[in-house]
Amino acid sequence: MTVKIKPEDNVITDDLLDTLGREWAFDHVKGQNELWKNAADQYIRDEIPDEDQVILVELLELKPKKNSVFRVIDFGGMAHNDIVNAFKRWGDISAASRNSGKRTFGGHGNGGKFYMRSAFETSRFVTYRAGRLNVYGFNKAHQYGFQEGYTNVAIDLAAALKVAEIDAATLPPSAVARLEKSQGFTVVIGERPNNFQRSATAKRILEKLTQHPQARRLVAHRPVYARTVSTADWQLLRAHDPEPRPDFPEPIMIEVPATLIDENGDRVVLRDDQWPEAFLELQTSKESLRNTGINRLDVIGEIGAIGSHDITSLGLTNHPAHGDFIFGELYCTKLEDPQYKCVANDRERLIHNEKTRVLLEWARDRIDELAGQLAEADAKERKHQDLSQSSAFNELLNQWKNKFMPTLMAQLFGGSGEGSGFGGTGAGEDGSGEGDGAADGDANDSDEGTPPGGEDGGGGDELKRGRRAPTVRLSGYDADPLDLMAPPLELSPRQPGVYQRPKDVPEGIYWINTSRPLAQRILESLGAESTRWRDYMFQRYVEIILKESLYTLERSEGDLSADRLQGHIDSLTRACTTMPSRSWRTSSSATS
Amino acid sequence: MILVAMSVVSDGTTRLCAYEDIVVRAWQLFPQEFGLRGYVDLYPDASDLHKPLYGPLKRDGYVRVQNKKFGLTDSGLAVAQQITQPPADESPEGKGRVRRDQLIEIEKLCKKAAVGLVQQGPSEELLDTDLYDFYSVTVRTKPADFAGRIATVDRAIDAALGAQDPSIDKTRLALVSLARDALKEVHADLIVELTTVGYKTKS
Repeated sequence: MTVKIKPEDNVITDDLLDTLGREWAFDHVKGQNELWKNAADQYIRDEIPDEDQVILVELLELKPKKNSVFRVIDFGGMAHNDIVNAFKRWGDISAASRNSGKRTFGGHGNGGKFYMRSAFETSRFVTYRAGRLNVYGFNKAHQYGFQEGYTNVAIDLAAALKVAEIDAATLPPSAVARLEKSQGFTVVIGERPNNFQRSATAKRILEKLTQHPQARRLVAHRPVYARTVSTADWQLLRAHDPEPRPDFPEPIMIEVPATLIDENGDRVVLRDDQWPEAFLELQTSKESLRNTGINRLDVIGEIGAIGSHDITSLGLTNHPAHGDFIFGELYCTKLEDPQYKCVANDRERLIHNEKTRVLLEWARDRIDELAGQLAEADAKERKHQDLSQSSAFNELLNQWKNKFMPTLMAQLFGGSGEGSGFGGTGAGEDGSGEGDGAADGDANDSDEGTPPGGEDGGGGDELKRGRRAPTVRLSGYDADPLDLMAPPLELSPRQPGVYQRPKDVPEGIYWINTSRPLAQRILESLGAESTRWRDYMFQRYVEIILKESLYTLERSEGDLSADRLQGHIDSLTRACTTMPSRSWRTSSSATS
Repeated sequence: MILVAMSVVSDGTTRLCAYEDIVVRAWQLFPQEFGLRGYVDLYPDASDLHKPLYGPLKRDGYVRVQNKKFGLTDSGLAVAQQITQPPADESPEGKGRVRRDQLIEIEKLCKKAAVGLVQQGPSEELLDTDLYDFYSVTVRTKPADFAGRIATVDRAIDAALGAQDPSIDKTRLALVSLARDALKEVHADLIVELTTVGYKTKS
């Protein structure tokens, strides 16, 4: 059976308005934002460029505070027709644009009205356009209507300004210019605001508005002036972005994928021919943004914010702490596709559905990646600071090694113990005399430069100096002795604890790899001043001395058996653990 | 022939031998090749051994030199033994089994860090130290020795790939081969630097 209903107009009581208006009743930041958006929308309908869209805000703190008056002024003005056909209608989604096809800030046709109705004892707006004045507002019983005697009254601008209590002489020059051109204005007046007592201040409300995801964009692109005392000068509001981290100064732009797969396995289109642009812009802050209200991701539609989510609420998986230093905007106009139903009435947060979830998860992962980069940079900086402590100790060890090694080598291999390094002076290369490239020994190798039996060989025409005493440097901190302009050599945690590049070998340079997992753990948990770290460095020095001595041993004795190697290691470690005390004292006193 | 002579001098081991012993034994075994011209039956000619010992035999990884003494590498010893005692059961295509020294080489290679990294995928960078580890050399290995190790290892891998030896896990062998190729691609410049005589001092 087909059910046939005879449609009738909705019957709505004021109770519904009370219920719906509660969310605007006590939040002046949220409410003022609605009024500012309405002012901007009037300018948009009048096709006024952004830079001329002057908005004046007066949050006049009176005594007692409960008698304070809030006013928002634009220089557009509404006609009687606008009030009747647009303002008066609750929940008309075309109210802001007036079906003009223009993109406006207003979305659901109720924010400003609810704020006026719910957040003040009485409120009204005085509006003047095309020589006609109208005053419309809410009485104490929250009923709306025209003020008696002020419906579409024909008067001149000066008289209208007087009714609105606007002193043109005290306006900012840009406001005067705008007024002269438009010959119209609207001033929204709220008297005896709710929830504006004790610690609440007008200044704090204005501060919050300059950080508010929606109002902040208005302040950033339009001249918005404010004052909190009626006799004070107008102050131009500015949207202050936090100072970025010096190492991440530029915004990071990431294109949103054209599609993502949601939790149900369905494809969610985020860019298409109609809405081709979608990107994530992330910025860093030098200071933590926690509890500042800025630590958030604003979701931007075609003209303004359509939602805002605290970074913490996104739930960064890996680097939540560094998420406190990030804020950004997610520009995705596709979310405004009416079929998507992603934009909430108050535009505070996106509507929670599978489309917004998958997009926010994608954004969360990008933020987490940036947070990871911040964490890595911080760890590197912390390590660098730590290593500045180590560098002094490294110098001490270098001095000790320079004093200790010649003596040690003389003890292990014989000789006078004079000089600063091991190895001979080098016999020269190219000794085969046949030009066959056979001689490839380095400065300390005479294996291949002199033919066995002393036949045929030439002395070679290139004399090489003996190997220098090893120089030990800390990776990630010390300058590269072979390229002083280059940044410090960074090594991988997988590279050995003591490392040499090919070009380090002839120069006798060794790097202690401070990225090794054990080194990292000691530095992170105990610090560079700990005895454990000093012990770690000392062990690396012994490792270097052992490596150098092994090459010397091979040159002097040839084939090395395991027994011979063990004997050598025993001798060396015995010397290292008994000789340092004397050399150490000398070096220590030299550096201290 | 030099490898055979060295094998005889070293009693079929890789121990180091005196240059003079090798010269004399090579002449005794192959007088026509290593005798002094005009006196082939009376005197050896040492110069005929000097050049190949320091040159191709070393750079191909068959011979090692220490303190003016020469020894066969495992690879050199295997080649010498192959010459003196060719395996009876070798198939005509040379397929079926790789040499024992090459089998040992492959087994060692399978355990190298670079092979594990290649297996994990491209997330980890192949470092210079992975190259050294793969070829069992260091940054201080002499250029000819470095080249010799590359030649030896490459021969072992290529032989194993060609032989289809059932005792070698094919997947592991494929990973070894992939690791070799990746290391050679990533560190091509480093390999040239470390296998070129005089490169270090010139740079």
